[in-house]
Parts: sequence; C-alpha cells; structure tokens
Amino acid sequence: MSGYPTVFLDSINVFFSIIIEALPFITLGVIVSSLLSTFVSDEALVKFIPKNRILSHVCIALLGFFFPVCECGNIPVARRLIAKGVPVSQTVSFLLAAAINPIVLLATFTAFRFSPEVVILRAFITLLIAVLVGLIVSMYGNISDVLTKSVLQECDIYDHHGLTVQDKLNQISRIFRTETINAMGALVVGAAVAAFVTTLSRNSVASIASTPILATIAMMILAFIMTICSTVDAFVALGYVGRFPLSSVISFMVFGPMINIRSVSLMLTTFKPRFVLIISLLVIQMVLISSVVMNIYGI
Amino acid sequence: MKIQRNTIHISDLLESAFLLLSGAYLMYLRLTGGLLYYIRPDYDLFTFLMGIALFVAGSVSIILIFNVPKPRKLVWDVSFKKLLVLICISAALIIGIVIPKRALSSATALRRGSNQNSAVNNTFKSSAELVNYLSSSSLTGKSITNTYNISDWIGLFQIDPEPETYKGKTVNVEGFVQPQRDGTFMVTRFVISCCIADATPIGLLVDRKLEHLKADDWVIVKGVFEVKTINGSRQDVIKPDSIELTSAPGDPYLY
Repeated sequence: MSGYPTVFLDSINVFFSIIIEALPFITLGVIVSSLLSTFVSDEALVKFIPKNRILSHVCIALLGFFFPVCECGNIPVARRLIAKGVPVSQTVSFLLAAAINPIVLLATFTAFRFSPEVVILRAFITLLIAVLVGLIVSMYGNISDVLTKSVLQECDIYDHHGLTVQDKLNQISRIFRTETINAMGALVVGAAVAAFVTTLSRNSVASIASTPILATIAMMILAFIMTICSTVDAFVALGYVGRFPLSSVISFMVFGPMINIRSVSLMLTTFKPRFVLIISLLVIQMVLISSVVMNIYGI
Repeated sequence: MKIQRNTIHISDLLESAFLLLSGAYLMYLRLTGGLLYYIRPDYDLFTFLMGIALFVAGSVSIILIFNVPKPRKLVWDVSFKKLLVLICISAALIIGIVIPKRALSSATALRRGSNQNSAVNNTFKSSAELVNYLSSSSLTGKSITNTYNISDWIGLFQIDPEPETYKGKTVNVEGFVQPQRDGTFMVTRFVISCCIADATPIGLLVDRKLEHLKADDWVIVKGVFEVKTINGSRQDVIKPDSIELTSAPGDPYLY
C-alpha cells in the first residue's frame, strides 16, 4: 500500500483529464443542439425522416454517423431530437450510430493499415447494432415514460414559432446553459467512476481471456472501464492485436464508444436507468453475437 | 408558462457563472501549457476554442439575464438536484486548480503493466526502413539511434523483435525510474493516444541496480543494448555508461 497516495493522485489527474478531454466535445454537441433547436423547425426535421419503420432507423443512424459530434456530444443532440418530436427508438439509433463518424473510421484505418477489413467491420457492425436496437425499441411504440423529467420539461418549454431575435437569443443561451451544465454534472460523476476503475490492473481483466468469446468479454469490460474517445480508441486497440483474437479487438472498438462509464452517465441525463440498462444489455448481446459470427468466419 | 419579465433566477446566474469559469479555466490551461499534463497536444487548439465558446456563452448569458426591466427581482430557485450538480462541477474545478499538475507515476505504470512489447504508433513504416536506419548508423560510424526516444525503440522492437538486431546500438533515452523486482529498473514513459486515461507505459530495462535512485526520479540513460535472458526470454537491456538525474520535462508524455 506504500504507493497508495501516488496512485490516488494519479487517479485524480486521470479524473480531471477525462473531463478536460470530453468537455470541448460536449460543448460542440451543445452548440449544434442549440442551433438545431432554434433554427430547424420540428416539421422540417420530422419530414426528413422516412415513414417506413426500417428505413427511418437506417436513415437516422446514418445521420448519427455523419453528424459532426462524437459520442460525448451526441447526448445533447439526442435530447434535442426528442424535444423536436423524433421518436425515442430513432433517437436511440442516432445515439448508438453517432459513436462512430468518418473521422473515427479514418483513425481506425490509420491504426489498422495492415488489416483494412477492420474499418469496414467496425462501421458495419456499429450501424447494424444501432439500427437493430432502435427497431427493437420501436416495437414498444413512441414510449415517453423512459425519459427523465428534465427532457419531458424541455419538450414542453421550447417553441420557436413567432419568436423575436431577442427571444431566439435568449432561447439559445438558455438551452446552451442548461444542456452544458446537465452534461457537465453527469461527466464529473462518470469521470470520477472511470478514474477510480482505471486504477485497477488492466492485466487482471485481460487474464480472463482464455477463449475467443472470453477474450471478447474481457475486451468489452476493458472498453467499458477505459472510457476512451472513439477517435483514438483504435490506437489503444492496436496494442491488443496478437494477444487477443481480431474479433475481440473489433468488439472493443464497437462496444466502447457506445457503452462506457462516461456515456452511460451522460445517457442517464436523458433516459431513466432501467431503459439505459435495457439498451446496454441489447448492445452487449449484439456485440457478443457479432463476435461469435466473426469467429465462425475466422476473424 | 408565465414568465415574470423582471425576474432574475439565481440558478440561471450560477449556471452562467460556471460556464464562464469553466471556459476561463480551459483557456488558462492552454495558455500556461497545463493541458499537456492531461491530453495530447493535437487537441490543444480545439480545447482552447471550446474554452472561448464556454467563456463567451457564459458572459452573454449573464448579460441577457440582467437585460430585464427594473426593478430587478432576484429569486432563489436552485433545486436540490441542481445544487448537487453545481457542487459536483465546482468540486471538479477546485480539484483541477488545487491538485498539482504532474505526470502519472511509476505506481500507475506498474498497475497498467509497462513492458517492451506494447504497441505504439510506429515511426518506422516497414522493416526495410528499419534496416536502412540501422545500417546507415553502422556505416557512418555515428549512431543516429542516439536520438531515438523510448517510443521509437519500442516501435523498432515491434517491427523486428529479434533482440540481436539491436545489440551494441547506442541508446540515449529520457524517462522516469520504475523499479523492478530484481533491484534493477526500467526507464519508462507513458504513451497517450487521447488523454491520460488511456496512457500506456512503455519502457526499456536498464542493467543497473537502483542504488541512490528512487521510483519516479527522471533520468537520462546513455549506454548500449546488450541481450540478456530474463525470466526465460531473451531481451534487450541497456548496459548504461551514464545515468544522469534530470527534472521532469514540461511535456512528460509521448504520443
């Protein structure tokens, strides 16, 4: 225990670094969210989404993929989509697909130059899971009882019909302020948990990986606790190539940006805990299934 | 919802103040070089710009809040939940200001498992390039390997893991001391991909007892590689000519 105070100080520095790293991305997400709220009408947004159930989820997942925010900034945008009348199921597809974007794939390609199929598999599996989870949620209709009270209030408050310039400015300012503070609160809690967990030995988690499926589980646990930004996780994943099957390394990159300590903490600002749990379990199952399929095909 | 036009809500004011302070702190960290203790330099500018955005948003928000008809009426409307959120954020801000900025320690390196086999972003794209580098150093008689940092060496080990390849090569690396079980030490650095949450320790073994050195001392180790069998596996270890104590660099991480 002689190293305890040093490790404690390191944990505090890690805690703070998670906040410093995520806060700018959250800010960017909130800027997009505030502008979306004030300058894009509900009608225009809903009209953009196809009526067909499957197509609508594919379409919104692609929107999440191309949206200029990563997994930290997507929560404020998702809240805004809900407030604008986008169904919860489609918002879930958006949220999960926004875990990757073209920059993430470019970084993945840079890291895995020797194995470009990793990039395609990462993109395909992420989008597939985003669409499938959204479709499963859509079977329950447009549920609103899974939303937190603050989101429901936002749905009622903001209306941009007949607003003056001054009103619009007030609205943008109010949304920016509220969204940022809510996300920052969740971020601080998520960062504290993540910083504590990252002091645990990573080797002990990795040591459970004696079979391909256990390797996938180990990598998913690592992805959850390491809480790495999706733009760089490929370089961290690269360190496990050779020691772990490629399928488990891909699972690390698919699962981590969707479900990690920080993202769960941020999701809880929008959805009730049991819904976040259901989403997480669905994603876990699908990542495991995809890993098994990859193993069957020798990846 | 009926809104009183001359009302100033304390919760709005507090939220705005926190935005302003958070933005100011991000800018301060960028301007004083403090960001380098937390994130990789590539994110420096983006973090600074978002710091400005937070600062401006907080300032504008405060101006708008006070832009109400007189007489202004202050209302305490901070719910317990909001209070809790603000306490969390202020605690994080205070921690950031109070806790000394320092590099991660050898204790964390030990927990994360530093070794010579970690993957790093390789400077050398192919084994041909590696051979070229190594042969040019032996041809000229002047060692260019003298300029390699720990990450460069680990990158080379990834391309060609045969220890004999590096035998006799000149090493000149800077890092912190990470004691080993046999009384020797590893000269270690953390490599970060994004922020220090993902920091991975990498290091080179030094064939010298710790003696007066302590864990986390920063040292410059000069010497040559020799091959030793450690725990049944052949590895390159530095046979040091000199070990010089130095202070921690301003940018303690490798990328």
